[in-house]
Amino acid sequence: MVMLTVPDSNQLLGIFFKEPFVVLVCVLIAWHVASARFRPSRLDEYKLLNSLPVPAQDVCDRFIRQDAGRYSWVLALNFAIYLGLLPVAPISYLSRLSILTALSFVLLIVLNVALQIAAATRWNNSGRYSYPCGNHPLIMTVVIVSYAVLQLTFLARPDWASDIFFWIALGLLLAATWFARAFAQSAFRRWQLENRAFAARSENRPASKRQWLHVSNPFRLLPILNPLLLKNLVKLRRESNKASIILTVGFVMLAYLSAMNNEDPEDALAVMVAFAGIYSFLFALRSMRHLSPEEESPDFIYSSPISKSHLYFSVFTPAFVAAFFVLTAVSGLLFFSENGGRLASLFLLRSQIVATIFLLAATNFGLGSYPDAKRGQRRFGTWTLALVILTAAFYRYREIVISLAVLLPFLELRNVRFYRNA
Amino acid sequence: MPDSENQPENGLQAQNIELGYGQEPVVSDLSTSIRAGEFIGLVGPNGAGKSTLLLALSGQFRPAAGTIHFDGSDIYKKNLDFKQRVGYVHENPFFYPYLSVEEFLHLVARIKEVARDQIDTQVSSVLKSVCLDGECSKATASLSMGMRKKLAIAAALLGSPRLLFMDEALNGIDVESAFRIKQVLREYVKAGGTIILSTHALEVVEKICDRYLILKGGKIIGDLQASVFKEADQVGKSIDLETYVVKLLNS
Repeated sequence: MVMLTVPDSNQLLGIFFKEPFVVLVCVLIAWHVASARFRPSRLDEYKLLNSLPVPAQDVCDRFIRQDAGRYSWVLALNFAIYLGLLPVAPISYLSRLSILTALSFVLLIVLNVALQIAAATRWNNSGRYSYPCGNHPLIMTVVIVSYAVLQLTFLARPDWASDIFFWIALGLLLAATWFARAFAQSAFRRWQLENRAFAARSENRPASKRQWLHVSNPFRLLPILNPLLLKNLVKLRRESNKASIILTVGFVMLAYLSAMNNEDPEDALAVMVAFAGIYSFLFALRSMRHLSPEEESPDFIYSSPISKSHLYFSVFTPAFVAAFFVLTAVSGLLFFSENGGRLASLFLLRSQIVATIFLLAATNFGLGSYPDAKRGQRRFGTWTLALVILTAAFYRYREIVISLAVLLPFLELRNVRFYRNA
Repeated sequence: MPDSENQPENGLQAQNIELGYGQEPVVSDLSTSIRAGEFIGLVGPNGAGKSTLLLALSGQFRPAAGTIHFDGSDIYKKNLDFKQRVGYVHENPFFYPYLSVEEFLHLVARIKEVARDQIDTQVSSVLKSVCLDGECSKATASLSMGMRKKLAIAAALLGSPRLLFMDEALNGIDVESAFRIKQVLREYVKAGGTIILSTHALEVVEKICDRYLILKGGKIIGDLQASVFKEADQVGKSIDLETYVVKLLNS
């Protein structure tokens, strides 16, 4: 094989979309999950530091260093992904690519801190100030998607990592980082000076933009439906669910992108089902939130005559219907591609099976662990990991392994009781 | 309103119950019997186990030892059936923030399996009882603390429960509404319903309850009828509940 200083972008992307892309998506999802877990402690830190005489730039730099250290594993895994490109790219190019990636990572970390603080002050000095964590998931999503876009751009334009262009890109990234840091520091200074976070509405009364609900009572309109299911449908209509929408749009885009960039239909199908699996897992994990104490208070559930099946179907049904629609829509997109009919029907069948398995397991684990949602999510995560390992290890008997794995979480429902035990 | 049933086997019977969180016992070896048509005031210092006892008696906290029966059947064996006949008002009530007051009550009525043709009548009746009839389409998330308490009482009254448990239910409610709610509660007891009210407000207990249970360290240290105080008044040995409770707790 002839090694070129500047590799061919089609070759690079061809290899990248086969496997490294799926790994990169997993890494980015893990980054988002890790940042969500970190959110509550950051809020407390903001409050503490705001009450102390600490200079704004020191606090800001501390947050930047903290974030860079906390998510450094993203960068390490990214370098490992680049090693997969060695057959088509020289080591010198991959080194330059790694430097640009590292710098773009630092830029986005700084930008993340700046945006979080700027969002806390709502871009102006008037209006009601709120705690700085309200927009955290959305900002993190923007940051993570930007990171992915930069990776793809560097791969699509290998000339940017060579000769003079490399130095220009390097200079631009450094300058952008410097500006982002200055912006973060000034935003934080303003937040410190003018923040009224502690006078803002406390968390005791749930925030609601609606004071009055001038709509016809859905409980009167649909008297046959399970009341808890109906309540969850009303919630779906009235409360925006940005994270699920972003997750779904991301999945549709990734699935379509990987299908269009893969000439081998079987390979494209396998990659797409893998994406559908990841999406279904995350969607099921999110649907478990409906069984958290914040969403379904144990006080209410334990003091009401609620049956197991009512609560079970109130969580499972909306999630199942939503997943069904999304996967059918993606199949519809595939229908118009080459070999579309076969590819779409196979994808629809396989992805629906995968989604149903994940949603059933998530609901079973969620209800089995109610009201301890974290325990339910841990058990669901462990079950998924075990399922993946066992299916890979005993691939010949995969039908038996999967059937047993599907039945196992139903055992969780045996001991569900809607009262505490002393 | 509930049917009046005063046979001896009717009502709520707790036998030697033990309750606790982890290793720490909160209520130990407690026995009591509550008959239909009683209005009981449960009083005691902080940490005496009042709320825990209410949870256990209402089928929400299974004791580690002992039994609780209602009308002769174990409330934890037929838990769902028992809860159909119970209303509970929590100290910090929970509501779904995206529902309106009326929608929340409809949800509770449906959960309590109130007949469909009676839901509207019952909802407007309980809303009137707690002086919330002007707030039907207000989002529950925008209610003040007092209004939240009123809504919780309204929800508890739905489905004509035979037992009503109230944990600090009348705190934070304005004078006029509190007066109206107390009237409603009295009517409910007259019709044969049973109320167990846990509170620190002894003047409320003294005014509306007809039996007092005084709890300390997870044990009942005083169980007396309100008539005892009235009789003492008549023979000139006047004593108020507050003085009595303080003396009992210090003895």
